[in-house]
Amino acid sequence: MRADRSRLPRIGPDPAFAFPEIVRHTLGNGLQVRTVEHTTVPVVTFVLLVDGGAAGDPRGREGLAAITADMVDEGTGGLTAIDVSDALARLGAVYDADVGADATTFMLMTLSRFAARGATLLADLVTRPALTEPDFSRVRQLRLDRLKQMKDLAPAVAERTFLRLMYGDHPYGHLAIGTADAVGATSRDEVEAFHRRTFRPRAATLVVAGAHTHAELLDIADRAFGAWPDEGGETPLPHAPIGNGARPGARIVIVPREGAAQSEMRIGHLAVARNTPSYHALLVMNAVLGGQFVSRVNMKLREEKGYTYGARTGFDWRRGIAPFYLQASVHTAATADAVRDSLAELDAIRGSRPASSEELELAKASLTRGYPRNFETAQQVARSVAQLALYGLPDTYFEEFVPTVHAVTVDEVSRVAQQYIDPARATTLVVGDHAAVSDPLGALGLGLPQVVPP
Amino acid sequence: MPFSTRVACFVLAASVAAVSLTPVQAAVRPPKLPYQITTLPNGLRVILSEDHSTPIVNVQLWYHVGSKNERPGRTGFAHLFEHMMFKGSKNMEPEAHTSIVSSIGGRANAYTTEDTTVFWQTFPAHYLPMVLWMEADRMATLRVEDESFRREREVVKEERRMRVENQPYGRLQEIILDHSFTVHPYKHPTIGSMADLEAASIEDVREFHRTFYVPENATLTIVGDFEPAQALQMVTQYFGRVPKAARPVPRDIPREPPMTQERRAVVEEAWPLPAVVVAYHITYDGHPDSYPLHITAKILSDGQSARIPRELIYNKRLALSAFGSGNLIEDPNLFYAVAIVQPGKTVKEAEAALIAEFEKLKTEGVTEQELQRAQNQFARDYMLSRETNEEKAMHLAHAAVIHNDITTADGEFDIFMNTKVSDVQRVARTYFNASNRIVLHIMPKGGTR
Repeated sequence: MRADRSRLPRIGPDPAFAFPEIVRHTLGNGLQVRTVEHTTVPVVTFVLLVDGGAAGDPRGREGLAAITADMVDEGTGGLTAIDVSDALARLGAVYDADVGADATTFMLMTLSRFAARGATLLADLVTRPALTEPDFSRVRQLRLDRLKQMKDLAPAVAERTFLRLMYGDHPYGHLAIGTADAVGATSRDEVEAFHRRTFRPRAATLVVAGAHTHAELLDIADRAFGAWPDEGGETPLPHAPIGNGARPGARIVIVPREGAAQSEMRIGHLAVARNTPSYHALLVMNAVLGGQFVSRVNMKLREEKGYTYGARTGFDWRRGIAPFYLQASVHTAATADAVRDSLAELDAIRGSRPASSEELELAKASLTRGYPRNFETAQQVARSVAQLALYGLPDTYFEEFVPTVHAVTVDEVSRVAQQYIDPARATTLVVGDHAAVSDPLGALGLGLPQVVPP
Repeated sequence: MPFSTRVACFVLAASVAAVSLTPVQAAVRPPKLPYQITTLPNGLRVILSEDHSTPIVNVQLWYHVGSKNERPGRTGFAHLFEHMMFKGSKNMEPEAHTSIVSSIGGRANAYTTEDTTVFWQTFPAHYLPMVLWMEADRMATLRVEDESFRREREVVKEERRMRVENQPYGRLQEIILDHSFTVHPYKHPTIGSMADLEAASIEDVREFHRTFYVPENATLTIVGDFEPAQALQMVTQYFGRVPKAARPVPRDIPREPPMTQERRAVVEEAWPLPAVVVAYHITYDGHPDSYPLHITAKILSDGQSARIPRELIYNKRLALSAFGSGNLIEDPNLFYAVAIVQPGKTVKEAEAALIAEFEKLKTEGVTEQELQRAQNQFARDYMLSRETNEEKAMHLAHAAVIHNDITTADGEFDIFMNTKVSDVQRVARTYFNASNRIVLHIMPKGGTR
């Protein structure tokens, strides 16, 4: 047969995408359980979403939710921290805890034949952690040392400073790890109190996905978590609302890092909450602007200019108003040029160079045809279902995703760009060599750069 | 190890495992990966593995060339070349590859290691012909333009600045390798040096493609939702006419002579806290000793209750983080342990504690429980690292390219499960000796902050 590599082969139509069935249950203690059968590999994944994250940290105790989550696997009942680690290892389990702004997620994944033992261990850890003083002081010290190390980590400095610039002293204005002062001031009793008021079955959702039937998965969940008492803590207060039109004090901010090889850059402003009806249009818009390798921002900063290894844009989604951001780490000498080019791209998509129909098609194709890839493993499936609980989305959400994205029009993309992307009220943050970047940044016409410590 | 009443009761309820926490692994042997392997007349090796559970396919093209094939003065070249493979071929515009894969909802990327350069894409199953077409086009022909080469070199320099120079501890691996090797190219990091990247020329690019990007140096692996006979026919159609190489692929890589006495060094870096490294030269991936070495890494380092974190972080509080791992790759490399020293403690204390862990492996060995635990962790990793098509393809290709024996993609499971405590002690005695040891103290410039 002749090999013809000069013409792309012809391709058939896209197959439809189906998400496995999600079955909802409520245990006697009020715990929401969602089960999903996922049979490709003999493993089972438990994801427990606890309603309460870093935004629940009291003022002056930033980092409390994260220390509490960290303390969960430091012992339970008669098990010491080392025993817990050993028990997890013997089950061949993977465990992790993740503290987000709005919720804390615990994940345990184990081989199917250890499913019941894994569930019981997770329940023991989360509902009855030992929270001893020696463990607390060790964990707190490790966190204080990590906070010290983070000062030398440019991306971490940028993340922390960016949140502070976006939210000020709003509960969203700090990283989950908190600050050295707040962590240093935190006591074991405060951890216990936080655990008592936040970790309650009525304020949690358990997702179980694995190679068992719905009935078996529910039974495993019920045996492990059914006895978790609902001791009626307070319902957390909703956060104070925050407007998305706030204009920060400074347009351009530098965190000095002497001799840095690159500038870590963030440009952004508050935009919109995750449950916005414009979510899908925003995803498509972002895919054109900076959500993927072939998007405008990366094509400009990396492919055309060679300033960076990669640049992207996105939304740091939350239940409340989330920020839109552009991020890149760029060569020190190219910092001001990269900022100018980035702001120009943010401006262009709003009007002078709106998304073309070709760009729109590429963005939609990439989002929709790639969608099944997000659900290959039981862990991916379980974590996705937990997201539904976090943002109050319907169980049909995944199946509706592809048609909803296909329905987004060029006009909608322009509208959401105009409504939610605004370089005029964006703050530009540069973590980099102050002596080298200050003058060129000052010459951009965004006012004098304000200098803030790491 | 003391046992909690709660968990003990629970374990007793599940009586089988309770009595003998030891031989649980015997029960489950995960299903074998199905595959067929063929070699086209031009030397291209093809591995096919059907899996219809998700309507997607992963294609990986492994070229058996990495940073260990680089010539002196051209470190970083294999990786720089990997970037050039996205700059267009005879029938493809620059960056069209990424943009086409994106337009079909796929993901495409590439990576370079010491031993291999891998190009992969995951995409909806019905696009298989298109992806094969694109991969074949850039194997057969490469578009090399001076301007795109210069720009890409800047991108790679930014990659180095981001990953290595702008990160605390970013140069850790580079420092360890530089002090551990004298002649083997493992001395140099895959990302290369700035000076060598700057010196690379467009003629180097052409020569590299001619020498290493040839069918007999490549292994194509396809895993996912497809029909094998049809796939093989497409592979033959698109790759079959890529010509054989004009000359054999060079394999003249210098061997590292054995060490005769311990090497020590103190270096300064702009890092916030001091670090200690204890490294030993070991064997290559696939050598019978490599399996007990993998197990050793788990016993030393996987989880808070593993030996190194338990002693250095939990019990003695000497380190902020501490770990040990075996870098088991195609040629003999290193087993090393690192501790980031806790403020108030000394590098000497941390060094002594790390060396003590290696000595204990030789004198006392490991317990059945520790071995069992490591094997369970291994069984978990084994299963969880073979869930996606991409992961399955990676294991098949790795077995074929690095071990030159595809049966190890599955056969290793049994080797790990049959490893004995005596094997762990034997390899510890073979490799963890002072005359084979490198000790590094990496101190913060200008003192601890």
